[in-house]
Amino acid sequence: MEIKKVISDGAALLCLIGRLDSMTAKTLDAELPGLVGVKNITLDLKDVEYVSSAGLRILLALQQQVDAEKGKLILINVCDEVMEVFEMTCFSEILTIE
Amino acid sequence: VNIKKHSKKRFFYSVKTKMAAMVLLLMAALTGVLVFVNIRISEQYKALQIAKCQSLVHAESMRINGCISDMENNVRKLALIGRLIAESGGNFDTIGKTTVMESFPKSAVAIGGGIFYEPYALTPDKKRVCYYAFRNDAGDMIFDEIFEGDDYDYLSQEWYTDIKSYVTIDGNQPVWTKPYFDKGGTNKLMTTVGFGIYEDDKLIGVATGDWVLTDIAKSIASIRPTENSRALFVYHGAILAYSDKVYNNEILDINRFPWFYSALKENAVTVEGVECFAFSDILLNGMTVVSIVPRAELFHEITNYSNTLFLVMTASCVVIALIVIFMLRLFINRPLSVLTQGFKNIASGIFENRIDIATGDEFQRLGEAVNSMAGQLDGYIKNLTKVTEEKERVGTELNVATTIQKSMMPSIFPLFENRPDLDMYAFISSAKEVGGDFYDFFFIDENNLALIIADVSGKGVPAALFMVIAKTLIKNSAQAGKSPGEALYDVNNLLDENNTAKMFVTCFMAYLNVKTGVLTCVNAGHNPPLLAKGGVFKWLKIKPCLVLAVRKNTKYIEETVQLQRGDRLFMYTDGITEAANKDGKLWGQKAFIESANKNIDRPLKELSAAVKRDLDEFAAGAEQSDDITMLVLIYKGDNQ
Repeated sequence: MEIKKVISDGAALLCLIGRLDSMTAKTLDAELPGLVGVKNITLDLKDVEYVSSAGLRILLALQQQVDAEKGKLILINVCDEVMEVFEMTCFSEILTIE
Repeated sequence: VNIKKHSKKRFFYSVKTKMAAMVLLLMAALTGVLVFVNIRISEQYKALQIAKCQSLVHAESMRINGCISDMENNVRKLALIGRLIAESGGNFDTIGKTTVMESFPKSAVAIGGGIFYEPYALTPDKKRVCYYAFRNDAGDMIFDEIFEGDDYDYLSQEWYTDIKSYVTIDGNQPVWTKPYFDKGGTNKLMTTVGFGIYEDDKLIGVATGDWVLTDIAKSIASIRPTENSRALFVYHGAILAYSDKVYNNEILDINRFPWFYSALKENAVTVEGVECFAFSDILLNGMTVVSIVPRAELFHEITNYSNTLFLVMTASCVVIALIVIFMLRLFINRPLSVLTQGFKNIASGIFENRIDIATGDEFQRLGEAVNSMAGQLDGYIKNLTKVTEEKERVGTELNVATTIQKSMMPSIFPLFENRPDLDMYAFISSAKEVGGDFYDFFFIDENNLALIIADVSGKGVPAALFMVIAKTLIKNSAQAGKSPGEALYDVNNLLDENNTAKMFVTCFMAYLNVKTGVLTCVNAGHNPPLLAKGGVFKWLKIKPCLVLAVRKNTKYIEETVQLQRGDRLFMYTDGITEAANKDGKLWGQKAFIESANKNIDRPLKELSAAVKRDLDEFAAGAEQSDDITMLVLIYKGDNQ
């Protein structure tokens, strides 16, 4: 899992590349402390073809972290396979997907 | 541990012997160098000794040669005066007398001499005219008138005739007589040199000078570079001196000195079986000086010195070798044996002993390093033992946990043997000792069977703990008479409290009324189960709700499905559809449903086993990354 990160003026854009599963979720997990205080976070999932339950857990944690800041987390470019997972688990209800 | 041991104690297996051998070699090399240098020095010393002897003989020869020249010059002058007297025709008696009296000062070698004329050569009046003077023992010059008298008649004396017969025409060549012992005169060993006196190439007389040889002979006899050296002084075939003895004109018996002639030509002769050096000189008047020096005696000192040096070196070698061996024993053997014992202790697991070497050198540092190593090893091994014990304990506990977790899920099949309306089978395989997946089924009343399959996010102990809570809560809620939706609503709220670990649970829960075949189900974010109506598995279309433990007061919407006799329900967790092979490729829903359909007609146990087999074939040995759970059911109720 590779993460390209742009942070500026309380907004962050993270481009995730690869699978977001139990093996790679740590990489994103490690980014969370660095994003404390950032209100608007955009996750670009263009290059993510799979999200496992461990990945969902990190996304949930990030969502809750943003909620606590009263900020906003937006997921963009979600592919069909990943969308299927979000829908199956109803994460689509708590995540903002554009 | 297999330690190779040398059964034979070979010489060089000890560091001490190696180093001692090195020291000995070094000493031997040093001795060799010294011996070589000593040989060179000896050679030079010997050459010097030989040269010294040679110069002794030469110096003596030179001195005697000087005397000879002095004699000859003196007498040559006398001969000249003799001629002048003859030519002048004046008062020759006075001149002659004065001349001989004055011609031999104290400094002269000759002790006396004179002018002797041929018969009537000076004056027709007198047949014999001669002037002779000599220095007596008191040192005064005495004019000797005996010579002119008839009693002596020098003209007929042997020395006179000898000289006369040997003097050459040019008159410049001296004639040396044989040595003689002057009995009645000086009583000394003497020789006489003579020159002819010529007037118009006619011999008119001879001039003579007498030389006492005793001192010369003594001086030659005293040429003794070493104690047993001998000098031989030969003149006109007579021995004048040999060894330290002076002879009075003894005839040379060559048999007594068989080495004499070779000594003149060569510088090494054997005298009476003793190897000697020979140094010889032939003087101006034919006198011969030979010095014989015993070789061993001449080189005695240097030979002694060399022998002493060799002895001292050998003794030093032995002493130094002994000292070195002793020191090596002290400085190398002892610390080495201490170190060896230390290592043996460590090898046999004794870490408490400390090596005590206070030599202040590398051995001490090595000993300290070994001590520190032993200390660290002790720590490591203690720690390792502790960790291993801990691991074993955790492993044992995990085994117990596994058993407990397994026993929490119904696992005795076939189930419901007394129920013709139902057949069920469940399979679970955890990725770790304990897992987050679980299934459950139980009758909440006579007709309603609760079915639960769930997956806690994550794996291992945290997931297992969360699973236990979730499972217990769900079962409690169900048994409290709540519908699936109500049950999950309550459970979600309970789980959401204090969910600091941010875990969540996906869960499919259903109540099957075995009498009516109505399946009331709720899906909390779980993989939709397969339902086979009429022999083909299809995904059960049911609206998904949010996973549990994420958001409070989430509504879980129930849906109902009517089952007919023979319908099959296949519940599973994402460990099946998301099982990965070594390339990271997922098995996927399509492959799963195909596998399920392929084996749809098999008994439930075989069906699940076949699906698992297909899954394993795809994974091809890749490590199982998530728990795999299947719960299959055939409805055999009355409802047609």
